[in-house]
Amino acid sequence: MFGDVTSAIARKWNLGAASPEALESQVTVRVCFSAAGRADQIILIAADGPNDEAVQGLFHAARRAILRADSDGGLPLPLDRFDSWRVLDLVFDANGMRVR
Amino acid sequence: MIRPMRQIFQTLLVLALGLGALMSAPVLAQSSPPRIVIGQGVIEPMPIAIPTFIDEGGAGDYAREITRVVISDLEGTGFFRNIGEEAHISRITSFDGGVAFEDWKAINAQVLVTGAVSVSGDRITVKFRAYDVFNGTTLEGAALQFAGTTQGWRRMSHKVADVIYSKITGEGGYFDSRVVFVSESGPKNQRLKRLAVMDYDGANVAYLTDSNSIVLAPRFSPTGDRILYTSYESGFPRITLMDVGSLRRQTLDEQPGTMTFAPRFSPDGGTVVFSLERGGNTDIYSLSLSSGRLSQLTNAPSIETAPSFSPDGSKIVFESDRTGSPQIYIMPASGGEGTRISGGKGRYGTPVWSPRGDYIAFTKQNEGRFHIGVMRTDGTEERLLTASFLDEGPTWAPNGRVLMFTRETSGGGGQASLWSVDITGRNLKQIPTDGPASDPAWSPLLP
Repeated sequence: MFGDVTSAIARKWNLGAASPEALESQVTVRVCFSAAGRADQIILIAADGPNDEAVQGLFHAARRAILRADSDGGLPLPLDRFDSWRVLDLVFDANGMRVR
Repeated sequence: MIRPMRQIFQTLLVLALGLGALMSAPVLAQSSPPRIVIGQGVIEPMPIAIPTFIDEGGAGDYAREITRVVISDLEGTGFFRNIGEEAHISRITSFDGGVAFEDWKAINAQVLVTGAVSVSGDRITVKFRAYDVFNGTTLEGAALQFAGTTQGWRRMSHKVADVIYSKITGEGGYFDSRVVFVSESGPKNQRLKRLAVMDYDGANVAYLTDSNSIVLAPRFSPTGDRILYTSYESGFPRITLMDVGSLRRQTLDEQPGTMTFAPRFSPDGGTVVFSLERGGNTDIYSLSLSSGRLSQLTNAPSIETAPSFSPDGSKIVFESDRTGSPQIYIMPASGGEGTRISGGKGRYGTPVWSPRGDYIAFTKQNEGRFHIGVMRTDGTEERLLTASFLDEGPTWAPNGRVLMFTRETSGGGGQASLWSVDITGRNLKQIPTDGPASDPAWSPLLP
């Protein structure tokens, strides 16, 4: 059910201005949605990274990705199953984007 | 691989969107929300919008030029793409007026920078704000004001760009910095060389020496007020210390029958490490600038050269050909045999420790090609960033993100020029200089 959500957000998750340390980080973001499928609240609930700046940078990029996807027509969520997605935990793992 | 100690954050950063404060109930009500992993994003320049800063009094030309330099600095990193004003829907007419975020979202500007400039006599004031467009907020710490003389307008532009860069990327800036280099003229077999300094982007060139004697390998002090270099004024290579403000020069360690070269400051600026050749053998020495005490740090029949301190001053990375070909070694700052860290094919030289302490940049020669590369301080994760007929002598930007180096073209008419590259290997570009140039050394961020 959430595959389309993953793709919609991944397309907007731009790490072009991320630091190398941010690309070694992972953040978990809790998103609360309205019944209309709009992101109403975005909270950083957990993070793993080399330093606070890296984590904050990754969190801001993640938040921008969610908001851009949300702004771009909304996320593809089934409105009739609101209870299943009213709160989602999104794990943004930048380790796969590292320059090696 | 050496990595900084990872920190685990269990943080609650509440971002209230609209009635966000009323939305805490669902977070608490659902004990285990579905978990979605996103492991792939895109790497592309971030679209930003920087409308021409507002003229708040007698500053029309300055406002335009400052905006131009800020855009140039940010776009020059390769991380950002400025959305031209012809695409803007909204016009910023007042620095303190509201921002129509929907208009900036519509053109996909992820960050909006607004600014205003005023001039009174020879004083100029620049204020600016950077907004996270999709979040509808000012970027934390990115609403500032700088004041100074009109003569310093370019530095102020760099400072504005440094703050914006730093707030978006989470890294320190590097635009408000200088580069000392060797300016070259004349034919290749009779090249004239003199020291020059410029802004990091090639502007504001000033010459520090004349062309009467060859100069090589200048290095800034950690405070940027002194320069070490190798001079052939006496006919032999000698380390010279120059005060940048007064241009006063002093030759260091004049021992008859020796040659001294490849100098570099310690992180506290109190010590110089360098190579000293005596009787056909070259070793690394340190010289205390306060006491004049000379200490021998290596003692080998091979050539030990190109020393560079770690940022904490505890270690020195250097080049040695003790195994038959030049390789990179690390030893304690007090001296010693050293441990080899380079392990790949080819010849390694001119190692330089990153100001962050995480990487060592180097020159590598292999199969007829030269490369600028980086490796971790234990020799792992070697990455070649460039390849050409002759690339050499990397120097780090103050934030440890960008390297500048010399690239020389082949043939009798070959010329040296300055280039920079991001440590990811992206954004390779030439630094504009009036003529041939070599041996760049980056200053720290200016005070």
